[in-house]
Amino acid sequence: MARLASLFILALLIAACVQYSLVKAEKVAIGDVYTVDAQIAWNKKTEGKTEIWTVDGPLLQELRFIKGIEDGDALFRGGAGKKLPPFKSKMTAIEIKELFETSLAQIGVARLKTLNLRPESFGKVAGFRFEFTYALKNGLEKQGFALGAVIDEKLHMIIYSGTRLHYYPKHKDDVERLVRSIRMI
Amino acid sequence: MRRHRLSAVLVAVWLGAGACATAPGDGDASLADEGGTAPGLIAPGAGPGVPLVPDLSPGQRPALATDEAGWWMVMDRTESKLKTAGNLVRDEALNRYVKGIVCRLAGPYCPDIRVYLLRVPYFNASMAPNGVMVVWTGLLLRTRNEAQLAAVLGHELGHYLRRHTLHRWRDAKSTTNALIFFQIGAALGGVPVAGQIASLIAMGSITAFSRDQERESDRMGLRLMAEIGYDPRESAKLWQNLIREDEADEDKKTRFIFFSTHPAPEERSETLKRLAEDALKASPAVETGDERFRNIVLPHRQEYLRDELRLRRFSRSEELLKMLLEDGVDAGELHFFRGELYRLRGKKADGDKEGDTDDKDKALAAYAKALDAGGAPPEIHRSMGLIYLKSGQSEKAWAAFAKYLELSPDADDLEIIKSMMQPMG
Repeated sequence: MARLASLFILALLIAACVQYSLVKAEKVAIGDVYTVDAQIAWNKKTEGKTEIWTVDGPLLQELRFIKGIEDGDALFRGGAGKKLPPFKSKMTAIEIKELFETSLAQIGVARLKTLNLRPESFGKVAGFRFEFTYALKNGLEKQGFALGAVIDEKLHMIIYSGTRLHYYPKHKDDVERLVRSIRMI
Repeated sequence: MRRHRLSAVLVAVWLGAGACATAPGDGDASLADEGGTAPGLIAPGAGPGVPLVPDLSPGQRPALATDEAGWWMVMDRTESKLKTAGNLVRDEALNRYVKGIVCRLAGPYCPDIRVYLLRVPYFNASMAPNGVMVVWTGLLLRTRNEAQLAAVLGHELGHYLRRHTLHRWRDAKSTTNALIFFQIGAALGGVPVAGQIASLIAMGSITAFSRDQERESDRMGLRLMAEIGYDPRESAKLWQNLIREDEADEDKKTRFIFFSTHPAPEERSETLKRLAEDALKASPAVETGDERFRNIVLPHRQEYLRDELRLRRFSRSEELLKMLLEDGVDAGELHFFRGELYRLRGKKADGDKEGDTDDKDKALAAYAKALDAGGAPPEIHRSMGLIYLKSGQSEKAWAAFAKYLELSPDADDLEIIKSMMQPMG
């Protein structure tokens, strides 16, 4: 009985496995809004309007492209019973940063700090950028930054994060070059 | 492998997975003791009967070959994870303060109890059989003075002193629960006792303390607090406030879980009041510890209120803020958070309802009160600026932003605020 149950769970897990595809170190279109130079090879998976790229695995580091969420959409996927706040097209950068903080708090991270919210161009569009740190429940410390802009009333964000001690710094420079290579389509 | 997995579930439950506080039957009451959230009393003579085992003595550890030692082993392992938890509150003064109250309540048992404060925005405290007590910051936000905090801590100590987990475990093995118990037990054949315990916790099968045990802990908590001079009436007051908050909740799914696992709240509240009066006759000292509580806990209230608003349970947070305002302490801060609540909720006025106003107007009114009362953080001007900006009142917005920058010249978001002020120079 127990063995059958284990097999069933295993089958479910395998079915739930996400398919990653290779992103080559070349120019890549992110939706139909902009392109970036990927700089290095990445593994990519897609969740709705979000692409998640990683080199070493999403728990260690991830580069997240939120591709134009609309009024009423949440920034991230939440679990059952979570009340992730909706994006509103008239939000200012300050409110989008609040949206990010509330979403992460709902997901359940600890010691979240967002730092240095400032204007920064997203390709040629006026956007914003901030840095952040947080800890997982098990104490693992993460670090990251987010670059975003509201284009045609839709929110586009690129969020890079990873474990503070190794996997975030490991590809930070690559990602900095990547965000500087944004070209609007 | 299995033990590791179970241990991970266990830790997740304990470290404050949000679901613990909102999903009945999820998790373990001896760990994330949603059940042990509010003190109360049982009517005299309605006790749980003859205990299966005697109470713990100070410094006592179970003999290695016993099932109780199995429980301790599992909890010791969980405790080692707690020590490095990401949401562990490390503020020394606050830790010392809560531990101090626990020690006064626990008397000779003080060295046996370790207290861990976790930054989790729900009302909760829990007690493990090995002496680990976990207190969530959502509890510190809702207790209004030291006596109310002591009421909950005393209740939790009751579970430890009366070895409720062990009673529950042995009861489950020997009574009508045996069927369920052994069905699960059969699936875990060959797993050592500690593994079985962890599994049962993870499956939620020995989840809650029984209602009788909760009643007994209520009675003990009240006795302990009254004995060291706290006003026992505060216990019923806390309970009533929690009921009030729960009743204000428009989304019944987020109700306090103890309403499903504890004795009926109204009945309990009444019993509490009556028994507090009896306790008062026995020891008439009535300390509430307001000042110490205010000096040590209230400096953290802004952080906890920010956590609270991020839950987006606006109707209950609104009631909570209203209740906190009744104390009148730091009213400016509380009005500011009321304003933040309305700004974040952003509900439009209901055209059919007379007198209903937009949340942005409610927010501005609350901010105005906050400024009158004083003590609101400088961000109040930024928040006002954002609302003015949305309503097309640019000049008022820029004036508010300018005020914010004047009060916080080193603001972290200085550049973005300046950029928002640029269009009109």
